[in-house]
Amino acid sequence: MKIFEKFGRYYEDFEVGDSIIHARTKTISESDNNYFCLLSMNHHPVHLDMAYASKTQHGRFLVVGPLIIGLTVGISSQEISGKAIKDLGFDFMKHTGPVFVGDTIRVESMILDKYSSETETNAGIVVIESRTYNQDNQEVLFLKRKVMIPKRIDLNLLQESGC
Amino acid sequence: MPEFGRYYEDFEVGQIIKHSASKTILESDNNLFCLLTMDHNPLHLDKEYARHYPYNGLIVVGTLVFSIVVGFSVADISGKAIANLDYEDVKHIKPVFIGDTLRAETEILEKRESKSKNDRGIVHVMTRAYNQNNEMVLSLRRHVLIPKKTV
Repeated sequence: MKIFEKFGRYYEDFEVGDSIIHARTKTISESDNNYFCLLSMNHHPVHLDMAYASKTQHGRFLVVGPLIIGLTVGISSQEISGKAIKDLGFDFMKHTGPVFVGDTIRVESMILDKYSSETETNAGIVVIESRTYNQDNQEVLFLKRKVMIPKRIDLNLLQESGC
Repeated sequence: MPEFGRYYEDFEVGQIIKHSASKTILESDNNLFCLLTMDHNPLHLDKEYARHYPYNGLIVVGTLVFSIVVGFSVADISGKAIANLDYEDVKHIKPVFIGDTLRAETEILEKRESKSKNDRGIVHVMTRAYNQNNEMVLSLRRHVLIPKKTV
């Protein structure tokens, strides 16, 4: 038997109320934080300057926030946005706890709502809440987002219409 | 010590700050960013797959656009921030393609002193990002906790 690995889901595959525990996890290495800051031109010294960071509240580097947001979206792409055709954005995001170099994060998502798109005939909007936790199960990020997901194309219908 | 960012007193409600940083989004930016953040949506990574979609090419991953726009605004907005409290209404208004050049500006919407500590305040801002054709590609609002110059 050939098994085709799945990446992303179609609109029909989302059930409101479903909770998804994402399989992929990531230890945030010093290099992740460093490259991310440089790539995104975020030069706040709390992320890049060890002498400065050592004098702050936490006494060490704080991992740059958009990296946690990027990883949360990235880790959830396998089950959430892997087939998305448009990322509509975030309604709300909050860093609910600090992340330090060496911390390991995991992500859980919940499907809050879904509805057909008014502009695209073969797609729908899915509303998702994602929460990110560190190795001590402390929540570090909460976000609510909307993505546009294609519907399954019904091949029978296509043949009937002569396409 | 060198100074980076602004104090609470330096923000004026209604002020619009045009950030000096701008950036052409290169193929390597999008590629490295997707890999670094484990976002493997083929619309960002697979040219053959992306060819079958309306834009006929790779779309720059949205979290990169968001991160770079926040990056542009750090020196002027959150360079001294004690905390980034939250983000609201982050909207991807238009797609960004490889080769597009982005810039951003931030409007100071409101500011208020912290209720619990007298050495800081909360600044509420709206940041808008544009491409080389002056089309808005992203907008977001955020609250940042900023220290005062003097207590």
